Amino acid sequence: MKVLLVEDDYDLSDMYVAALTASGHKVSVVHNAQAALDFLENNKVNLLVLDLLLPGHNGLNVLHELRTYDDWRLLPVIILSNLNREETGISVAHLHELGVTSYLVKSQTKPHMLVQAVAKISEPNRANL
Amino acid sequence: MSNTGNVQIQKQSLSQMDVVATAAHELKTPLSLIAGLSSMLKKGELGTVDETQAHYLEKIEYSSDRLLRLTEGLIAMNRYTSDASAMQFEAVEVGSVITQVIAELEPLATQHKQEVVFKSKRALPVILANHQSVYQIFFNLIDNALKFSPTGSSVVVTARVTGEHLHVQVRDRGVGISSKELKQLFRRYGNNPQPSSTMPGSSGLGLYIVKNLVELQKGTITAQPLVRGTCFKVELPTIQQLSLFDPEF
Repeated sequence: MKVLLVEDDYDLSDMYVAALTASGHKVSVVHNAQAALDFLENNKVNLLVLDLLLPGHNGLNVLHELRTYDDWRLLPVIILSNLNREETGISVAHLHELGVTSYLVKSQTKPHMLVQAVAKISEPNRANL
Repeated sequence: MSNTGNVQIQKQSLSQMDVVATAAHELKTPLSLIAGLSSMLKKGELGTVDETQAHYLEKIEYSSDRLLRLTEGLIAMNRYTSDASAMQFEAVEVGSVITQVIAELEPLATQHKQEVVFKSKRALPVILANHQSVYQIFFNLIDNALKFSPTGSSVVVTARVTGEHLHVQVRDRGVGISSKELKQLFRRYGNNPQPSSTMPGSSGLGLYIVKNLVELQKGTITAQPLVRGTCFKVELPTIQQLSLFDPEF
C-alpha cells in the first residue's frame, strides 16, 4: 500500500516508517496539515495515517477538508494520536462520518500494532473504532 | 480566615496537579518512542539481537509501558478531578478489561515465573463506568501485586456480584503491609511497603491514582493486610437496566 503518514514528531515518524516499510508498504511522511493536503493534491495514496495534534491546523481540519474533495472522499484514514478519543470529545459516530477506520492512541500502539491496523484496511468490514 | 487558607491550599493543589498533568502529557511522546523502538529491537525488526539483548530490551519496553500507564493515569485523574463531567461513562465489561490487563502483564509475570489467576464463578455483568479508568485501576493493582510478589508466586484476582455491587479482589503473596504503612498507602506520596528482593519499590503514586479513579466511579477501595501478602478490594456499583443509558459506542 501507498501510505501517507502525517506526524509532526520526527523520531516517531521514523519509527512508524521503519515498521511500515519493513512490512512492504511504501510510506511518505509530512509533518503538518498544509504539507499533507499539498502532498495529496499531487500524489495518489491508498491510506492516510493522521496525527491530530499538528502545528498550525490540526488533523481534524485536514480530515474535514479532505472529505470535501471527490478524489479523497473515500480515502481510508487511521488516526494515530497522543489523545484518546475521550480527550478529543469526538464521538464514534462523527469518526464514522469522517471515514475514519481506526482510532489508535500512540501510547498504546506499538509499531507492529500500527502495521496490523494497516493490514486490516484491505480486509472487508474493516472499521475498528 | 481559615476558609481563605483552605481555598488557597486547594488552588495550589489544583495548580500542582495541572503542572503534573502537563508534564505527563510531555512525557508521552518520548516514552512511546522508547517503548516502540525497544519492541522493534526485541523482535529483531531492526537487526538481529541475541537472547540476552532481547531479554533486556523487553525490560526496557516493559518499564516504558509502565511509565506510560502511569502518565495516562495522572492525566486522567487530573482531568476528572478538576471536571468530573469530563468523564464519559459507558457499558464496560470488567471481566474483559481484567483479562486484557492480565494478558498485557503476562510478559512481566513470566519473567519472574509468576502467574495471575482470574477467578469468577459467573459471567460478570456489564457495569456503567469509564473504560479507561477501569483499565487503569486494574492495571495498576495487578502490576503492583506482581511487583511486590516473590518469584514463582501467584496473584489471584477474584470477582463476584452481590446485590448492586461488583466486588473485585486482587490478592498477592508479597511481604504485606504494616498497619502504619496501611494509613499511608493511598496517599499521593505514601510509601509502598518494603518490596521483595526481586522487585524494586515505588512511590505509591499508582495507588493514589487508583483510589481517585475508583471513587470517581462511585466505588470504594480498601487494602487488607494478610498473614501472607495483601488483598486489595475494589467495589463498583453495577447497573441493572442498560436501557436507561444510551452509550456512545
